[in-house]
Amino acid sequence: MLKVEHLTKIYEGGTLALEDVSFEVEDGEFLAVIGLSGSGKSTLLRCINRLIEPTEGTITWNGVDITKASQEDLRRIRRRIGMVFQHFNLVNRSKVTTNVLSGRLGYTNPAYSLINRFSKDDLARAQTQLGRVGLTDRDDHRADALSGGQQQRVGIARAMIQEPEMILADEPVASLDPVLAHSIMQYLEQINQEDGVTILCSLHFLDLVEKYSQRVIALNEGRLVFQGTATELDDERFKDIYGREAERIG
Amino acid sequence: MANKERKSRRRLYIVLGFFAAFLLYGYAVQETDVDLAEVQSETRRESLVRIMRNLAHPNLVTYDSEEVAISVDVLVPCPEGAVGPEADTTTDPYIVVTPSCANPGDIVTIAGVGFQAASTGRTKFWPESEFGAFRDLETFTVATDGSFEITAEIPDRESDSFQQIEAIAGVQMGSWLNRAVSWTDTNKNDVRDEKTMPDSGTLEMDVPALLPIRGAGLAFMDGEELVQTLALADDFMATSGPAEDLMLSSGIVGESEYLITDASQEGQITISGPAGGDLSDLEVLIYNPESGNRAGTHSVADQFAHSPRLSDNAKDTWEKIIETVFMAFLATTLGMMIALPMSFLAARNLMRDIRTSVTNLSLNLLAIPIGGLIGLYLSRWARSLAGNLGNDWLRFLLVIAMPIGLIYTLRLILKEEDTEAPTSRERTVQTGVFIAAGFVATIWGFITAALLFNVGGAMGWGFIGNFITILGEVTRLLLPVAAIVGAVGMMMNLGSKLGFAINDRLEGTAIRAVNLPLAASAGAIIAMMIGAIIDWFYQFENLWASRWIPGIVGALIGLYLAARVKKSEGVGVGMIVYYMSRTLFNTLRSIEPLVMVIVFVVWVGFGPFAGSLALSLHTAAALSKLYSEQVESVMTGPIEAVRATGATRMQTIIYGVVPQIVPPYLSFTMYRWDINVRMSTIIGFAGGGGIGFLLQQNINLLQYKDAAAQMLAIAIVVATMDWISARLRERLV
Repeated sequence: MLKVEHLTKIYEGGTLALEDVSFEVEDGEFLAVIGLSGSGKSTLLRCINRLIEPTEGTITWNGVDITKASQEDLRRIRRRIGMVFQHFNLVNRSKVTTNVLSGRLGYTNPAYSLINRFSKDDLARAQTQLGRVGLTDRDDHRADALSGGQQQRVGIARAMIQEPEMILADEPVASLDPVLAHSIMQYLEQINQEDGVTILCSLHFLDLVEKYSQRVIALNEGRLVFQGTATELDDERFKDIYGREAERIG
Repeated sequence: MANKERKSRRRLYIVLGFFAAFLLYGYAVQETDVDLAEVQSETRRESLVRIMRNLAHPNLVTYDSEEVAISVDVLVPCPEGAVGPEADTTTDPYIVVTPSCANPGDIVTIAGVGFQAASTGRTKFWPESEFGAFRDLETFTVATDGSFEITAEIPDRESDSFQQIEAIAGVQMGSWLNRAVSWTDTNKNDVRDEKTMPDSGTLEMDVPALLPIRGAGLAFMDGEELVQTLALADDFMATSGPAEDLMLSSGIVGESEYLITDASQEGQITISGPAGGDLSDLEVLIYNPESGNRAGTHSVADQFAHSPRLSDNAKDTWEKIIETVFMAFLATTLGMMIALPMSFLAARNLMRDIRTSVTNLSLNLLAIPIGGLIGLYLSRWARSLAGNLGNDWLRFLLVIAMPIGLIYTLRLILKEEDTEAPTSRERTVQTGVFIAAGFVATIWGFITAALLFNVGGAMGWGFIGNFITILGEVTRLLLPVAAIVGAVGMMMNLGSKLGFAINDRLEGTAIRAVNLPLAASAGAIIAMMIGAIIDWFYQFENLWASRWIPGIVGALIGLYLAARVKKSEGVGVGMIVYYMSRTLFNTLRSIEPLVMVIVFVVWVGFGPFAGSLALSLHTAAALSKLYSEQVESVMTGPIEAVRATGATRMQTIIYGVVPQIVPPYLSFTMYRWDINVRMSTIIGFAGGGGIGFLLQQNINLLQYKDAAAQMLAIAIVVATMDWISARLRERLV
């Protein structure tokens, strides 16, 4: 279980990105995080694996306080949390396999990384994961030779090769067309349902939220303004989250 | 209202700006001594034209030249009513002096006809009274029609009998056609001694002559005397207009038959004859179309001598440009090897987030002197252990066996997958094995060095043997440094682990109690080391000033840090290292290699070695800056993604940063090589070897044609490298 308590993040320069955010996520849950751009969704997700250091508050996962973890413990925590990004964040000049394999770095002895070596098991895992996202024949291509949808599938394979217990997906479909968006969301849904992986996914489109998520939290200017199921998101709540002027689409 | 005001104010600013720019440029012109009178001066312009023309004629090829000296009688002084001697105009070339009867100080005109076009020459006055001594008159350049005309002053030498004015013109010998064929080197001593007809049975030659050629023939010379005219163009005496074709007939020279098969008006003549036939005495005769005079005899064999050939300057240039390219290559490689790791330290985006606790910082700083000493002593010990082996075969065996053993041991200790956090016992064993492995690797290094040194010496295969010897020696010299660096690294690693352990277990006052003495001692020791370095430069010979005072100041700084820095914040070591390395690079970069080479020349002597060391240092600094800026501009997304997988900082750099910076690193390295080639011209000025030395020498001696060859060589190399790097980038980006 992931438990976020009184999480606050103030960036250098005084920008308040998160203010006293508290919520819980059950193991195996698919949680959608919604809110306007700049409402703190990305910051929230990045605080959970401490890509961004929280200013205050605690994040407890399976009984361990992530915010207090030492560098070495953090490595062991991070490797069980996969991450999927809006802009895929693949290393363009590296091969697809290498990009997927980089998901195993948390398990690989750094001394072996010096000579660019992964274990045989890892190589096999990379093939399995690429097969799962239907890209077995593209393993030798450079990452930037792939289309957007394919790149995001590589991103998912990279997260899955970590054998994660939780995946943080930061607007994973925001730069894809609606058809691809659904296919990527289906991959995440499959991971959530078949492998029991907890998923925290920030989304913009409410139809995606309704279709895929079990629970929703909403942020507005760094504050948690809604917590509940997608069906509870009526027009009044919508205006709370997105502002009085907002029109509901999708 | 406000708008109008703003507008007029803006106009005022523009006017003021123009005025300020005017003042600025005016001052700049004064400071740079702009002198337009010099630009327009006639003599300056002439010099400029001369230099520019010389630069446009790089000296790459030399011709053997034959001097043609023609003299004519003059009467000095000129008695009243006397008539000067008449010049002989029946043979080409000839000269005429008008008037040929003159008094000292008179200006006479010297006109020449039938000289080789575009050749240069000089004129002399031979006084009758002074045997073998002459007075130089003016020099001349022959026009394209083979004539020249100059004026000269008659010198103050009087005589009743005729005195001579002589014109001497250089005539270039030889052509590129069939150049080496007619000469054979029977004794293989680089002396061409046989002049024979090539196997093809034909020779083509260019005869330098007044154009157009109307008649040609072959003659056999017996000593000084022309024995036989064997072949003449039939219509040469008969026609007076321009003849397009020449009728050619064959003739016999000695026992062999030679034939002019073709002759063009441009002076290209083809001779056929028996393969291997002796050409020594064969001459081609050329006739002037206007006068019908014989315009010259040309020895067939001499035409082909070794002329034209690459000039000595071209050979020197070739030798030096090769030296330069390799000097730049070594310097670039060495500089790159230093800059590669350093560039990461000078990249703001990588260093910004590195913060460490006071405990860790102190322990790491303390690890520097401790690790240094350990490394120094261990490397000495390793050297003495390695030195006890007397046998190269044993060395060879160990050089092969030791790495295998090492790798095997390390693989046992280092699991590919670190699934569980290692227990403290495992950690201790690992550390012990690492230290032992480092020690064994050092011994191995010394053995390898000795083996390379001996093998290279015994091989004696020219530069390869020499290179192996040097590799051995370099290894031997650098191993202690590597051992010290390795030991410091290992100690720092231990220090960090200890620091993390302390920070994880202790809180608040307890941690402060540990930090205070640690930070104080670390600060004191580092400050004393800095003091010692300063002392080395300035020789204070005062222990108080150079050691104790810095020690106390350092300890106080340490105490201050330990007391003030919060545990949660730590010290921004990353930025400290960033600024330190930036400062170092900027300092090194601001010192021109020209200055550095002076220091290195003092250390290793004149020559390309000093030059490449100076260039290496500068390259290291410059590339570090360029590289680090590339690191700073990499995409952050992939790095973030790799970091999120639990990768360590080093793994993040290897998998997130390195793939992104390969293309710019490559092109910067190539560009730096190109810079180094160009810089080596400057380096040569200060004795750093390479082509610059030659270039500077030639410029100082005003030999602009020679200098032009070197400049051309540099331009070609730079252009070639640009092409290669473009191709490389195309492939790799």
